[in-house]
Amino acid sequence: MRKLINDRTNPIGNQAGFTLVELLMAFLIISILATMGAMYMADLRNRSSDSHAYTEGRHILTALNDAFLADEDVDFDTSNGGSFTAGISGDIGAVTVGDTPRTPIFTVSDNVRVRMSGSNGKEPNDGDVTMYIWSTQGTPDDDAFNDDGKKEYQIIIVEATGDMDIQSF
Amino acid sequence: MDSKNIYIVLAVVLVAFVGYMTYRHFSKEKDLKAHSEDKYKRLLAMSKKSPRIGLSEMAAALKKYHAAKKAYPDRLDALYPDIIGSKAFIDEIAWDYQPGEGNFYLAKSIERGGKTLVAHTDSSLKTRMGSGTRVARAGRRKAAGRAGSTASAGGDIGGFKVASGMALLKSLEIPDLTPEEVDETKHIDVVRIEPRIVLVDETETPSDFASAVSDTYLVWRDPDGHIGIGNVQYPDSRQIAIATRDKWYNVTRKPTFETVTKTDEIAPKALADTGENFVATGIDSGYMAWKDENGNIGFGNVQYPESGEPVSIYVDGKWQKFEKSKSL
Repeated sequence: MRKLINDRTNPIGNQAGFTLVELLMAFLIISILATMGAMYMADLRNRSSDSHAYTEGRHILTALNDAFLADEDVDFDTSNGGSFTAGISGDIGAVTVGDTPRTPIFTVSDNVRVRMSGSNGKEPNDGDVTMYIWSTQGTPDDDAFNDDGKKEYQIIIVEATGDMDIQSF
Repeated sequence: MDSKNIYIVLAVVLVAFVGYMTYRHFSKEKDLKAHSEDKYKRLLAMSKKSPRIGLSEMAAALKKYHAAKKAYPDRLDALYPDIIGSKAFIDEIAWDYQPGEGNFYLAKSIERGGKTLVAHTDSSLKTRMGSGTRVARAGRRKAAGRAGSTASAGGDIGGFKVASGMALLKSLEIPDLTPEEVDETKHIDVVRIEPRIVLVDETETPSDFASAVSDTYLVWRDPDGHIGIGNVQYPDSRQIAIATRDKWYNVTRKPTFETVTKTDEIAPKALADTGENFVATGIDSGYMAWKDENGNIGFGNVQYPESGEPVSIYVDGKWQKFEKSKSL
């Protein structure tokens, strides 16, 4: 190896060196390999971020289970001191920003967002919540269903039937 | 290493790169497709269990369509596949969709425990139980949702299930009509009781009084601020506001159709010779008339009898039976 290097790099001892084409080829090969590595790392990072969002979703689900399904007295209608008022359906997460109504987006933790809508229903035990949770650094997903362009995980709760889970990772 | 070898290495690397990119593309595409299908599958299943679940998603899809095309689609089918990736999500849910110029009405109903539960939304994306604020007026149904959905779902006015346009066609014993024969003038009166959407934009919060009364009666307000309560007569104005519990909604009422319609022929004048039919015939063109099981007659489009099923409504010269929705 040393001899080879000396031969290639010592123009006095050996006139044979790297040609411009050879250098370009070597540079091209290194660039391609570096690109592949960077893409692989980006994919890993995206999946890690997806996993982070999913884990946060699991935490939210656990919290909601404690505060929503397991507690029959929970009520999101704060206009009446938190007590349930028959006939009033309180929105969860409804918001109008400027003149543009939309489902609000909450920041759960660094880079993790959740879009949430629901209602506590008109009757006790008739609430429901639909959430979509994702990481801003998650896997790009151009599904038109998404507002954010990232892979998102769906959380649905139907209090009346006891359905409550998060989309699998 | 001579030039030949480095070319070989380059070729190998290029092949590996292309192979990796291809694998990455298809692998990711497959994963995301499966993820999306799972999302719709879950949403579809949950949408059949709760009346509100899925409404926001469909409403958001309609808004996306509107943002792209500057109009709401005539049918929900138009959202597939570009915006809604699942045909089943459109077809397998009992949507009631009616587009408007600047807004839309979207409701869905499910059966749970022998009850029909209905929830609705519009471009505000807020979901509400019940069929929502609609104006039941004579007029042609502007547009249907997907084939079979709106027509078969029927109307839901003031907590009462009413026969759909197609059911009314049958009950009125109109001879079999091919689509070509059913022109607009024939439709106008037949679907008279189908509510049409002419709302809505929120303005300010109504007074406590209007809010409380609005639970039971229709509360309207004309451009001059005059407030009226009840179900008997709208002001002589196309621009009014209707109160729900927490908001005023500006409403543009559509003009009454003045066309002499085909259905005039199936509203026999003889029906007007009894007292109740005379009353009903007189008010039928402007208001909904109802009759409870004891024969008590009321009219208007909001205040219905508190009890007594089945009740009837007077449409086009006939009393039509309908059932009060047990869910509302």
